[in-house]
Amino acid sequence: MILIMQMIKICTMLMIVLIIISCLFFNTFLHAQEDTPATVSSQEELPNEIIKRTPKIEMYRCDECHDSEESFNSKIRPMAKDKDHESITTFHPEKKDDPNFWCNNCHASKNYNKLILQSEEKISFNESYRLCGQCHGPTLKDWKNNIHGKVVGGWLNNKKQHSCTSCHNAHDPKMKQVDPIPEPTRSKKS
Amino acid sequence: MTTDRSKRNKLFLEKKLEEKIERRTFLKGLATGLGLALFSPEKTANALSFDEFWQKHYKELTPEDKKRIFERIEKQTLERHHTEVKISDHRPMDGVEFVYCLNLSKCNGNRKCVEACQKENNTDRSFSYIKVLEMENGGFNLEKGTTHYLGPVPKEGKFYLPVQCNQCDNPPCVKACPVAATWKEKDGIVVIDYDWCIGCRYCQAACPYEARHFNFRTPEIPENEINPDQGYLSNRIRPRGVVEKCTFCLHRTRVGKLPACLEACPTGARKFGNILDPESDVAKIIKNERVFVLKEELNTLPRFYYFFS
Repeated sequence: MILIMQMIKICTMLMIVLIIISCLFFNTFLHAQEDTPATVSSQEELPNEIIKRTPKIEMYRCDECHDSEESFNSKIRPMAKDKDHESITTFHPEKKDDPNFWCNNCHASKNYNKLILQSEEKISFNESYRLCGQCHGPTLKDWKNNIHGKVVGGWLNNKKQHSCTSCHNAHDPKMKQVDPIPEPTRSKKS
Repeated sequence: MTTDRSKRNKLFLEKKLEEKIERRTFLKGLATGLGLALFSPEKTANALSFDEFWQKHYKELTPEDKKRIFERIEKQTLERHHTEVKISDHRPMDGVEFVYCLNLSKCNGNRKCVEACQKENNTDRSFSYIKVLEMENGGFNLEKGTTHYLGPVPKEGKFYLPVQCNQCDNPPCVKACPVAATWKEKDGIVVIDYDWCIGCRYCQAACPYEARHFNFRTPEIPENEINPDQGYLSNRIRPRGVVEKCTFCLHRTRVGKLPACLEACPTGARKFGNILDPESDVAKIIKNERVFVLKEELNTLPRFYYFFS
C-alpha cells in the first residue's frame, strides 16, 4: 500500500516537473518569436525593377563629409538643429515623444552610406522598403502587389516601381495637403 | 435576354455598316463641296474637302484609304495648328482587355490627372475627360459631389472621386448612336470615329457617367502644347460639332505604355492593366480588394473599378 502511494507521489512530482519545464520552453519559444523582427530577406524576388533613390538624394554620398570610420556617439539623444541638414526638421513626428526612437534606428552608425535593419544588416538607401516594412507590414504587402505605391514605365513590360522614399519624406512620412491644379473652366471669349 | 439584345444589336450594326448609306444631303453636300472647291477652297478652314466628304466609316477603310486619310489629317494639322504630328492607328492586342482600378483612399483631389489628360488628348482647355468630384465622407451620392473645390486638398471629412469614361462592356452610348460612329473594340475600349459622327449628342445623353463631351466650338489648344503622338480613334485634334471622350489613351496603352493620367498621378491611386492576365496588378486588385463600380444597377458593366485600401 505504502509502495503504491509512493509511486503515485513520484509520478505527480515528475508530472509537475515536466509541466514546469515545458512551460519554460514554451516561454522561451514565444519570446524568440517576439524578438525576431519582420524583415524582408534580400533574396526575395520582387516582380519589378525598383527605381533607385540614391541619385536623387541631394547630399549623397554621405562619406564625402562623414568619415566612415568616425565613431558615432551612440548615446540616445534628441535631434539637434543642424545647419548642414536643414531639410530634416522633424523625425517621424508621431514618435517624437518616444525616447528610444532616434537616428540610429534607421541609419547605420559606422557606415553613413547605409541604412540599418533591426537585424543589424546594413542595406542601401535604394532598399528603403525593407527598412520601412519592418513596422509597416501590411503596407509592404500591398506595395509588393502594387496596391500601394506607383509602378511606371508601362503596363506590359519595362515596369519600374517607386520605393517608399520616392514619395514619402523619410523624416516626415505623412502626406501633406497640397494645392490642387485649378479646375478647367469655360473662359469668356473676348 | 441580354445576349438576345446584344445579338440583335450586333446584327443591326452590321446591317447598318453594309448598307450604302443614302445621305439626305447628297445633292446639297455635293453642290456645297463643289462650290467650295471651285471658289474658296483655301479660305474656309473648316470646309470639307471632296475626299473628306466621301470618306467611309472607319471599319470600311482599306489600308490605302487609311494612309491617304492620315496624310491628309497630318497636312491639315500642319496648316491649321502649325505643328507636325503623326497619326497612328494601333489595333487591339490579342488576349488583352483593359481594366482601370482607382484607389479612393489614396486620391487626394490634386487634379494632376485632369491637367495631364488635357495635354495628352489635345482637348480644349475649358474641360477635361476626367472630372474629380469632392464627396462628403460617409456617403456615395454622386449628385452631392462637386467639381468646384478650391484650396488645399485633401480636406478634412471629404474624399475625392475622379470620374471618366468607364469603357462599359455593355455601353449605352453605343446603342444610342444612330449612325454607328461609336463602338466597342476587342480590348474593351469604346471609340468614336470623329469623321463619321454627326454630332446628334444622343450618346452624350445616354451616358450615365457624363463621360462624353460635345465640341460646340472648334477646340482651342495652345500651339506649343499640342501632343504630336496622335491616334486616329483617340487624341487627334477633333473638329467642331463632334462628341469626344476618354479612350484609356489607346495610342499609348495599345503599345504597352500607361495612360497619361496614371503617369501624372502623384499618389499612386491609379492602376491599369490587362484583366485577362491573372498576374497583372489589376487582376490581383480585383481578386483581393473590395472593388465596386459606379451605378452598377444600370448593368453597364464598367471596366473602371474603384476601391478603398
